[in-house]
Amino acid sequence: MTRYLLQRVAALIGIVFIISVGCFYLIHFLPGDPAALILGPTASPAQVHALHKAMGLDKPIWTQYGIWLGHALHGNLGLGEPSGVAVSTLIGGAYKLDIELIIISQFLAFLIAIPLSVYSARRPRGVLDQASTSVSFGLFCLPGFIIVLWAVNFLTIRWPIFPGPDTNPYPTGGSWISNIGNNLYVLLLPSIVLALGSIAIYFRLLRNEMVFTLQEEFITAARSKGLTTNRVLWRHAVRPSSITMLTSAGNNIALLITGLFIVEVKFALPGLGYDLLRAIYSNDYLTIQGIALFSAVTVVVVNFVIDLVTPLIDPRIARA
Amino acid sequence: MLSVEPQAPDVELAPASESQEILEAPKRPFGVFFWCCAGWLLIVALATIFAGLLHLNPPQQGYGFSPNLPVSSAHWLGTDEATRDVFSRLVWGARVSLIIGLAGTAIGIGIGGGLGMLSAYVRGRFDASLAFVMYVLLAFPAIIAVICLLYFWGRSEFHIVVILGLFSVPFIYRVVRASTLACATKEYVTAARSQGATARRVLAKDIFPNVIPSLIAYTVFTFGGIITTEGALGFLQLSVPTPTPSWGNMIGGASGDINATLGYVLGPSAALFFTLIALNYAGEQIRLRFDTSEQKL
Repeated sequence: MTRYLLQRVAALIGIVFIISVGCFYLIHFLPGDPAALILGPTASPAQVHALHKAMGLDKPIWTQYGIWLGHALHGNLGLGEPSGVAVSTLIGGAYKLDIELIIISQFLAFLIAIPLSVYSARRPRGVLDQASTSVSFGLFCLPGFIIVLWAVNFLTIRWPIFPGPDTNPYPTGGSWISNIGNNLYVLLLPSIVLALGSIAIYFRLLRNEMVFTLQEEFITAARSKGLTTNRVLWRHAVRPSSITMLTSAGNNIALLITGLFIVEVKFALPGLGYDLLRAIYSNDYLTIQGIALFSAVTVVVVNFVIDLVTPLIDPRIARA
Repeated sequence: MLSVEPQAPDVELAPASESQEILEAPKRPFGVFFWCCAGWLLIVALATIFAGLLHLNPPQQGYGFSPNLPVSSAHWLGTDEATRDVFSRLVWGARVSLIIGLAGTAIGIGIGGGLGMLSAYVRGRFDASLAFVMYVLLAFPAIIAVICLLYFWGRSEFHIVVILGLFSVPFIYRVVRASTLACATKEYVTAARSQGATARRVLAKDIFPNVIPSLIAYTVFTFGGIITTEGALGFLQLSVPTPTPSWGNMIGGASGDINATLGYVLGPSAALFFTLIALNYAGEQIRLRFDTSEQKL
């Protein structure tokens, strides 16, 4: 366990270091002098030179990295371009929506995927199993942006069942509690869109594990005690089968982020993905850098925590 | 076309049980749906290659068509918001998506496959450090990196290919490394090495033929993955700049247009969806056919 822990911590430090260098160095991919870019085409060479020096761009690259990292560790990621709002303030305001979307969509995904895979695994190659396996394969192949297109076009424009893509999930006025119904109503369709991709993954993993588990001897023993099928399925088979699915739920977060960006942009939901894309369209490169750093480090830390938690569920992992 | 037989390497050197194991593995027949998938991929490939010979409506705007026309015999999938023929843009757009997919996959297979084989063959510190690098790349949220890299580096087709190709390296590396490890300890490899065969010869003649089956399957998966990512980038208008059609930016265009007709909404998205189903299904069938460990279960 100690060895496993040390390995993970070393990997975490290495990855975060590489991410920070990568995010820092991104700016140097830009053509031309950042100082000139900030000041715009009307600036005189003297002004550019002064800002160049003020930004520390004349120092060696590792010194620049050290200064930048020091600021970043203190939460200073610079100011967003047109608005002048600090990037850290922007991130602080945006990430809650991402967390809300992730929680609702994952809740929906488990709510559908778990019963479906449990009852499909009961009769492998039965009608339900074949149908749900085919559908989940289709969902697995269906990229999130196609689901977004179909959901927006069919469910908000052609048949306006759900609120349109421009509805604000955080209407002003009233307390958070009084707005929660409206909030959930606006976030429901985006969450369903996000959940569909996860359902396909969770269904595949849990269904396959369940089929194997149901052939084990302790299941036969449970059945021979005269327990009902439902009790055997839910109390005996689901728990040992769910480890793969639970660990994949963590790795799935990287996939979810791709979906989140697309969903937020198309539904105009003010989360991190929306801000990142807005920053890209308006050439606000400090915001791009800040969001990239924040979300990359978050994903890595989440994966790290999951790596730590999985041996608690299944001790064999740490020994491998 | 899609089935490549695993060659029993240096049959004289291989012990009888090895070659028999390969020969005796029951062949899973490819079903009807597999051939439907292969047929669809063939149609897409032919349409991509011969797009210029199809006498399509011009894919650009400015030909006097009306915007948002419904499906008709003149415009098979109608027209889009900028008066362009959706069907001909779909055919031309396949070219962008598929070329980026192919070129990116070639980079991924070339680098990931080569490093994977080398890493598993050499073992030791080289293997350990390379595995760590790949772990880092896998843990890195690729889409954020891809979006940022393309923004700061510029969105040319070449950059997209290089970046998407590089981010597919760790997946292929893992698979190739695993299947190389599985056969690097086999007797025929030891036999070849004890006869003084160079590392290059052993890798090329004894190990590579055994890696081919899983490599083919994961080539197909990688191809699908890169097309999907390119589509997502195109959807966000972050792939090739807009006047050039790609499936992703057409799907993005349809989602940004509240008057989009059914042909515009369903045409490009269904084409991409069918292609991904075909790729994933074909890849899965190829993988199952050659995966002896799963057949034994």
